[in-house]
Amino acid sequence: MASPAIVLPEHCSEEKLSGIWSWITTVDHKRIGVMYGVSALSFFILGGVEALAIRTQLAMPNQSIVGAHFYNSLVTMHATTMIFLMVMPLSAAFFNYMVPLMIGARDVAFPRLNAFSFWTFLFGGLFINSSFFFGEAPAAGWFGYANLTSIQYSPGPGVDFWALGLQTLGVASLAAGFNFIATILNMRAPGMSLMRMPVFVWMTLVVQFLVILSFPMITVALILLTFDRMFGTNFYVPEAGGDPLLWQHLFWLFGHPEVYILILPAMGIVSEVLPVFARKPLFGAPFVIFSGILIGFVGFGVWSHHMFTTGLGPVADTAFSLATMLIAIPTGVKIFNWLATIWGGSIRFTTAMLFALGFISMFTIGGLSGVMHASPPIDLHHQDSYFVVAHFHYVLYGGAILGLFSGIYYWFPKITGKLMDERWGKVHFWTSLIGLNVTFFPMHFLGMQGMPRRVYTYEGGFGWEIWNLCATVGAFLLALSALIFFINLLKSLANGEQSGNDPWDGATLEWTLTSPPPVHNFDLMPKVTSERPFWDQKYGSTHGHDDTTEVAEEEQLPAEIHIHMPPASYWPMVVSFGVITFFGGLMIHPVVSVIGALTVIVGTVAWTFEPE
Amino acid sequence: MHIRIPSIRSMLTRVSTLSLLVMGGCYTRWDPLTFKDDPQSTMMPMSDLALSTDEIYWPVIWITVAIFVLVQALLTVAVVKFREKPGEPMPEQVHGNINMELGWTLLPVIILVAISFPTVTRIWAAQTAPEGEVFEIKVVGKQWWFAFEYPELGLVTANEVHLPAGRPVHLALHSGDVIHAFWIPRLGGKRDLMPGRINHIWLTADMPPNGQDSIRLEGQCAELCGDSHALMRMEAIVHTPESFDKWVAAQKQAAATPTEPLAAKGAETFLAAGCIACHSTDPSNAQAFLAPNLSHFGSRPRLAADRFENNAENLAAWLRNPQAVKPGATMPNLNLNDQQVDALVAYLSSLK
Repeated sequence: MASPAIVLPEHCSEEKLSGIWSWITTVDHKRIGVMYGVSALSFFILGGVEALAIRTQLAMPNQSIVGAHFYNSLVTMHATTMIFLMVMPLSAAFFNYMVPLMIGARDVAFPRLNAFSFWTFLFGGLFINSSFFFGEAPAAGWFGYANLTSIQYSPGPGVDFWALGLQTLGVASLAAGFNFIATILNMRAPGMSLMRMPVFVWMTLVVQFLVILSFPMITVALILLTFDRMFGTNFYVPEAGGDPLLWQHLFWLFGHPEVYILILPAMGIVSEVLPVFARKPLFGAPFVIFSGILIGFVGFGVWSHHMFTTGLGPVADTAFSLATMLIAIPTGVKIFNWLATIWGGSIRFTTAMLFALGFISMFTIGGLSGVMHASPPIDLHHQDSYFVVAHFHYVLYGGAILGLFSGIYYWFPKITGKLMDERWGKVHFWTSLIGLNVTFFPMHFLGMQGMPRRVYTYEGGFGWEIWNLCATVGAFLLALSALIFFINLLKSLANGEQSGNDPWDGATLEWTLTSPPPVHNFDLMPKVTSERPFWDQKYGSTHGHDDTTEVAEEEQLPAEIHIHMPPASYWPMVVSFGVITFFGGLMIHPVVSVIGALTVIVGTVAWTFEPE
Repeated sequence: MHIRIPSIRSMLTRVSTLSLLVMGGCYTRWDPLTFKDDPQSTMMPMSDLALSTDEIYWPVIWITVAIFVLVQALLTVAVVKFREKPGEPMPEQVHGNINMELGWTLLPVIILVAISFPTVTRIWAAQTAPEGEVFEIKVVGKQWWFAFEYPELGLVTANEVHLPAGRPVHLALHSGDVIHAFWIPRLGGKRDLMPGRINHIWLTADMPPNGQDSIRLEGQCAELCGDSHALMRMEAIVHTPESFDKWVAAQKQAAATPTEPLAAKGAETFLAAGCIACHSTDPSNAQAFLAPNLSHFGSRPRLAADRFENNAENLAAWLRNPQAVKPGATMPNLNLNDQQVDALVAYLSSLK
């Protein structure tokens, strides 16, 4: 069978795809994915430096390396950066790059909307961080509890930067959410039924539903906050009959699903990596998928477990406690299925696999401490103590970030055509694993010893000295591990070993392509007959019955195939610029906001009528 | 025929006790993890409320430790046993097993049901007023200190709350500005002080151990409440009944007018410099919630919301520049000169 010649449009030629301008105007999901990844890793450095400043301050009692207010800015910005500018966009990098490849699509459903999401995210992230240069970085904590955020108690510009910046990031996330739902539901290759879809794509789909259902909550919450601060409304002002508790309900209605927005992508990555390096299919794949869906679903019904101390009364406490315990069940199911996946396998200890195994181990710790504070009596001690700081760092570092690192080592060869150095990768893994335990495990003890979180200083004599020092040492070990990672990344990028198309003996569609994949991804629509299409192609179906008959029929192929590719466009970036100008303008002058709004309108119209 | 149906409450309590028993009677406190020498330990209960938490805390700790060990053991065995060996054939391609799925779905269900009963009974018990007489204390959190009012006694204190052991106490929690949290770990879990709302804690403190008259328990604000959140501390002093009566009697007496010349000059400065505009030295003054009540200030071991030792040096530093000691403190810098500071230190220290 002769392969047909592939004819690409003129704007996909080699010279049109180089230079800065080609990156600014790109609508290619792969390039957008790379830009998400580079941005996220840059913000990772920033958030890491903030963490080191925090840990340096707390290394010993009564230190005043940074002042009280700046310390509060550091904790606020560390969390905001790591959640919204690091873990979310790094996950988005994989959604962008990998989802179309894994479902056999040309691109995402709306390539220009995808570019708009990226630029809006980037501008929003830069906007929040620019507050450091404009007088005051936000200092009311990453969940910005009213009424500390009111103009009376936070008169500086920090909270405005925070509220308007998050609003901007929300626009980016919502646009991406709709885009990926449309992509995953509509653009799968023939034969890829939902249950044949890779688990990473499944988790991506669940995450996008969480995004589009939960971000409107924080949008509303932030609008009310902005109105209170800028136009003198009293939604959260108790003296005027407003209610600070309203903020907490709205925020956590968003904030709890957000936790699953952060962890489910990592769970998806691990569900891809473990089977490949154990050379077995994912054990109980439907259970892993439905557990993910269930976690996402129940995740909307547990928000008030962040509020057990606020005095909601025994009925609410009981309901939210039981619902929270319920979430432990699908989470446990996932962990046991992952264990069963490697059980009886033939395990290759690549760096990607080590990080995935580390994920299981560390995430279990975070999950179990989560079960502890599902019980309100215990939570009344844990809440706002270092115990919860330990808990969510095990979930986010031990879970989300280890999972994302696993994804980086796993897919780096597909993206660059080169392998990352495995020896340095392993050093990176072990320093990460040791560093994170030295940093975060002692925080459990600090919580049990009664140390509250978000204190810029503490006295000696409470038994906190040794564990704080320990955590600080661990934090610098983690910084070292990150440094090793970045050196490895740059070195491998410059002169890594050639990887070939399928370095890990992969099972899913992305490994059928060249590394890096061509601009149009697939020459021909792949036909999918199981959840491991490439594996079946190499080793035959393992489902007992022969599904491959469907593809056996020879097709008559034309001699050449003309592929439609979306042209580059700068309008998405212009519209993003309009969005950030609109929000930023609220802090400067209404005229600036009007200019921003006009830019959005003009940009959208121009984008709509742009010739294809 | 009349059938007696036990109330839902009493049934729940029975099931709860049963499930604690089922959990292996694992209310076993492991000494190193009680952090017994640490004054703010959450693991050294000193009240009925804290003890009821402790009774579920430890079983849950042991259960989570057991599950953790199980998962790590399985992971370790898998990693050691199933590492790739050269020339090994392709492993068997197992897609799943429905019985195993059922097993590891049901196992957590059983454990969680066991945890949920004692949890739910404790949720209700902690938020229900005890029957009979309770000793009322009103708590007000402000940036960044605590005020305590004892309506039955007509007394107020700042940053120190005095409790009679063995008597049920009701803490009515208020906020004067932003959200704070009341947390004295040895007395129990925290509750937020919400502006515009009143929260409640009911507890009965244990007798001070080893025949002491009273015991001091450490606590602090646990909700980020602005710049000096970290410095917003407090102490609970739990008294034996006799010691409590003695404290009340002493507290009700206004401090003696200072006779020593420097302190007497300080008393004048206290009026002249304007301290009196916010601070009262009358132990029953209703102005107590504007700024800390300073009656008997000299008998307090700590100052500036229980954060620094109450000595002449620290007090002078505080009076000279409150914001330098406590960032953002609402007490203005009165630009006092050295003589004024010395006089005020002598006067305030004399208020015993």
